[in-house]
Amino acid sequence: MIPMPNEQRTITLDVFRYLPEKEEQPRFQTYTVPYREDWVVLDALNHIKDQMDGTLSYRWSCRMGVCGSCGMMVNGEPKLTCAAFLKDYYPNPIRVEPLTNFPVIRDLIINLEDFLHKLKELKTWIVPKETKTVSQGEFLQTPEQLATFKQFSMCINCMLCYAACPVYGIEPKFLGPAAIALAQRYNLDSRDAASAERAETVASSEGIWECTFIGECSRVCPKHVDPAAAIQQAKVINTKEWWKSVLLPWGKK
Amino acid sequence: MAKSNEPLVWAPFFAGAGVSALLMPVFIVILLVASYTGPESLDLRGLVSHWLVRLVLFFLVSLSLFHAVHRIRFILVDLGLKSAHGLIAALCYGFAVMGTLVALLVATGVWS
Amino acid sequence: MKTKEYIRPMPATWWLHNRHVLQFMIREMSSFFVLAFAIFLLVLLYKVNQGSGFRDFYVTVLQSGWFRAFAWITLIFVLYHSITSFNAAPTIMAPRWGEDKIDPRIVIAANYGLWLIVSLAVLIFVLPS
Repeated sequence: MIPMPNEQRTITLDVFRYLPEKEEQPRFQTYTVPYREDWVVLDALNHIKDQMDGTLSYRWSCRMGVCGSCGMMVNGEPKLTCAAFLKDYYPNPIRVEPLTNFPVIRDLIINLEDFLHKLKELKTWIVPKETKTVSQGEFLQTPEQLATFKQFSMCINCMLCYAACPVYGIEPKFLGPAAIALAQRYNLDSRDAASAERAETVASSEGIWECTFIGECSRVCPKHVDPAAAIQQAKVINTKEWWKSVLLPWGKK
Repeated sequence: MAKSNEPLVWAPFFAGAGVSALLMPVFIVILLVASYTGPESLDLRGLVSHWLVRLVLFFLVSLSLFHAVHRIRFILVDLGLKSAHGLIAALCYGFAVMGTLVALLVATGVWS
Repeated sequence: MKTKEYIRPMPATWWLHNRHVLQFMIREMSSFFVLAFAIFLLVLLYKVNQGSGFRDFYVTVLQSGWFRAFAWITLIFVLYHSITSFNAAPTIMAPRWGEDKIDPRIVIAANYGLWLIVSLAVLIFVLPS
């Protein structure tokens, strides 16, 4: 069978639409876009917006997998649409929906205020052990110290892990994989002094203890952060501390 | 949000995960061998009377119970029984505590 | 003007959504069998304590088809539990050697090794009788 020339092949996208000022209920809209071997789902969405339907709304930015803006559900799997190649789905239709477990503002755009709020609550920044002026020099850190938390610092806040996590779907108060991984990133950083402070939130019942180690978060993470590992490690650390404080209450903190 | 007291039950859960993973299979195999070969071939009674075997069985049973009920608690919650979470937890760990007491009484031979 | 957000309800069958969450649920289901077998071990200990009725118990319960089926099914579930636990060990421990991460396969192999040693130790102890 002679394949059709590149320019004439097409692929179908079934895209979730929600226009709250016009319609009460969301619906799906089908678009037939050109199929190109090197196109990703984001290219297809951009083609739709540029050439076919300017009303489609969605987030994107770097188109190379580092900004975390373009996360959506592609055939039911949370993916960065700039990293989901059409050729992996062709010739079957592709269903594009907003990330699961988040309220939908419009079309493919979700409300992620909840996550941003949790980041702030967890103080996901360095709280230095000592204050230093610029003239006193940098905070020094060995490669070995960096290695303890580096993996968890790779998070691009894309929220795919929240979309994949059934526990977050069941309990929206759950801090969630990315937030806890980021809290761990700072807890393990030798320059930081706020572990105990963060523990109030991290080790609460809506923190690590909500997690049942399903592992979907780590499976879908595009940056191999392994938030599931961060959470289980935090469970071990917090359990040791809890038992120490119970069995040896006179020990120094 | 304050720190949870979950570590109280998580420690035996975690210990139970390791102990049951390492020891449960071999004990099931032993009982299957006993089942297929019969009382003449394997002196099960003598074996289970040995103090070391009882000690191991006590820990295996107790920690396996804590491990299992912890998972069961979360299965029930994850499947939708979220509103009864407190009650489910109480029933689950209560069962494990009772089971541990029974195991202690039976393993030491007090209860026969 | 803030428009109304659309909230998608989470289906009760979420655990059937893909093979990974289904495998998770099966793994968790193993706990029912672990619970049942732990209780059986308690019953066994009790019967041994009792003394007189033990042979009866051995022949009617331990050698019954029901018990064998129960034991085989539990064994399969427990093996699944063991294997998934050993494979998860490097994730939970995150072992390192200085700056480098220790190859997770070494940690997993060590777990299997320990399992083999412990199982053999128990069998060697038991089999002479």
